[in-house]
Amino acid sequence: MNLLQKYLDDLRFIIGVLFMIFALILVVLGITEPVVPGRLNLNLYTGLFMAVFSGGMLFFSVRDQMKAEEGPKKTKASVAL
Amino acid sequence: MKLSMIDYGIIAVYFVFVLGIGFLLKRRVKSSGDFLMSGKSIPLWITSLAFISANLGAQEVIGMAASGAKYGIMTAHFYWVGAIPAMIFLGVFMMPFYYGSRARSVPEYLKLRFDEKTRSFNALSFAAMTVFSSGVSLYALAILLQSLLGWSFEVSVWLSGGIVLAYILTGGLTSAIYNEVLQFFLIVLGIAPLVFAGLHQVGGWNGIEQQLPAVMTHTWQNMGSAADNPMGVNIFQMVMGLGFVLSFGYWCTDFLVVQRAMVAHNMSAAQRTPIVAAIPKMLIPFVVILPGLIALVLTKTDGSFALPLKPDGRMDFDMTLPVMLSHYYPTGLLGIGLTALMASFMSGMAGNVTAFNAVWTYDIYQTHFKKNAPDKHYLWVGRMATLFGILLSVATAYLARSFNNIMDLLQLVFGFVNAPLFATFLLGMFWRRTTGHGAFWGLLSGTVMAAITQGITIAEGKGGWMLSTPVHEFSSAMAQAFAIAIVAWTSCFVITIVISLATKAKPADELRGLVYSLTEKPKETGVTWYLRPAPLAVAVLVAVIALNFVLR
Repeated sequence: MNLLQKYLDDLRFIIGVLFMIFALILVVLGITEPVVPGRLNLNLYTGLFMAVFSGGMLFFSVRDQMKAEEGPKKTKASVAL
Repeated sequence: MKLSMIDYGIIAVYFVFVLGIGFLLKRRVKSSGDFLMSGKSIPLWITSLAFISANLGAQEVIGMAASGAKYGIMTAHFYWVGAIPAMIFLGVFMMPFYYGSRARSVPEYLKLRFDEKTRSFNALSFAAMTVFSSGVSLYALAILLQSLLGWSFEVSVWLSGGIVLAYILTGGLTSAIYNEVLQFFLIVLGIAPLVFAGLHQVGGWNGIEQQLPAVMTHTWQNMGSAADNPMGVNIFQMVMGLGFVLSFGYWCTDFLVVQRAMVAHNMSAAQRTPIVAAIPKMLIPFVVILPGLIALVLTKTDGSFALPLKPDGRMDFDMTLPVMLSHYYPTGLLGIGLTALMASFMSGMAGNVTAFNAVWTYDIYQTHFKKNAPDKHYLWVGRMATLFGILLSVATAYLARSFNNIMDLLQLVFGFVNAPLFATFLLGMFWRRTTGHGAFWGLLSGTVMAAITQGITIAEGKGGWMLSTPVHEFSSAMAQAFAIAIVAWTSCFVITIVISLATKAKPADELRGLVYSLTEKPKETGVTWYLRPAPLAVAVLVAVIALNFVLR
């Protein structure tokens, strides 16, 4: 619960989750819905771009949280040594 | 425009997140400082994006697309001339005083630097202005939803007001700032595909250049005479009126935007906030102005695309963006695009309300009603001010629906108040001899001169109410607005100097940290040299000059 709270405190995580939901909806629609001939498949392209963007946000958020979690442990270990 | 259940679902998901942010941040709000100033703990990337997002309201998103269709790429002057230089000036020269003086608001800085009457004049006019701006945003959103989706005016106004109230009341300024960042990404990612699809259809920038007259695709080439360009302004009016007076007056002194930099976690971050914000800001024209140009090309080349007409037969440019969304976006992306539009309205409204509640609590209530109450009391007053601000915004939206001319008049009056303000700050920060009496009477005379200039000149049927035969007719309302700003600023500047020389200045000890010559310059430690405010500012300035050159 504490860890979840930490993630929810990070705006990058919230943005990442929201845009990942949007990306999934758009990609599914892009694949399943017919596209007007001569027009770009905007749902698919935008969905893929959003997936990359939100993936990046989530990656950096999780990486920083893990670093923050490891930091104190390492310090304790070095003190013990 | 017809939305499907998926589009409504997307809008619902967004609002769940918006409200969720407010509730998540609720436990962080323990004092009035947390509620009204975010506890001065926000990281640089968030303050920077919030800095431009607070301004990325309805006028920017809908209005700039409309101006793009009406004036062409010259509209980019509102960014490259009318914003970036002022943002850089704020970061490099003015933030050290705002942040270093420990003032909690822009009016409070005026109190520290000058006196109570100057602060009260600024606080009262600013508080009224923010509430009315917020109401105008709400009104515009309700009208848009009514015309696009057939939603009732009442439901749109109360629902939007209720959502903004809920997330500010729970999470305070931090919640508003976090949501502004969320809204920034939504606006950019929700509208950029439109530009991509439009450019793909019209053959890119080359296609636009081939289809439209040269005056629509150049920023500087037709500025020699006001008659040569669709804006009807010449180079002096553009650079002095927009680029100096109005731009610096807004970006450097308006608490709505300055507040976002003042909540940064240290002085260096506060200084870099507007400079870092200038980087995405200079690229926003490509998202909000290009749709207007693309729409113009489509009206010529695509038989299935047409902008709606006004009752007088002219094209309704305000509908450019909604019509483009409807034309290009399929189910799903349409929901995202519409959510982006709604987000832009709410972002503008939330920015105004959070600035209003801080100014009301610190500069009006604490100063004039109850000075030494416990902090919990001011937290309560801040919350009540939020509620009060939203209710006034709703009332303003109804007022605007009934009497549209009243809104024009109010905006005009507040324009008069804002125009001379930068002269007061410039003299106050850089000339230690400036006095409180000089600042107050300078501000007042600038406002009066602005009203007189509007009253004796005319443009597009507006103004000229003081004389039966106006002394001058401007080529456009924009040229008139720029000229009014120049007159207001100059009178404020001159009167402030004259009265300051005739009155007694504050002793040097009282001005340390408030005036340039008496303040130790901040020393940067622990920040790589190229990330410091001055080198960053130079890089941004070079980039914006390059943009102007490429599209000259």
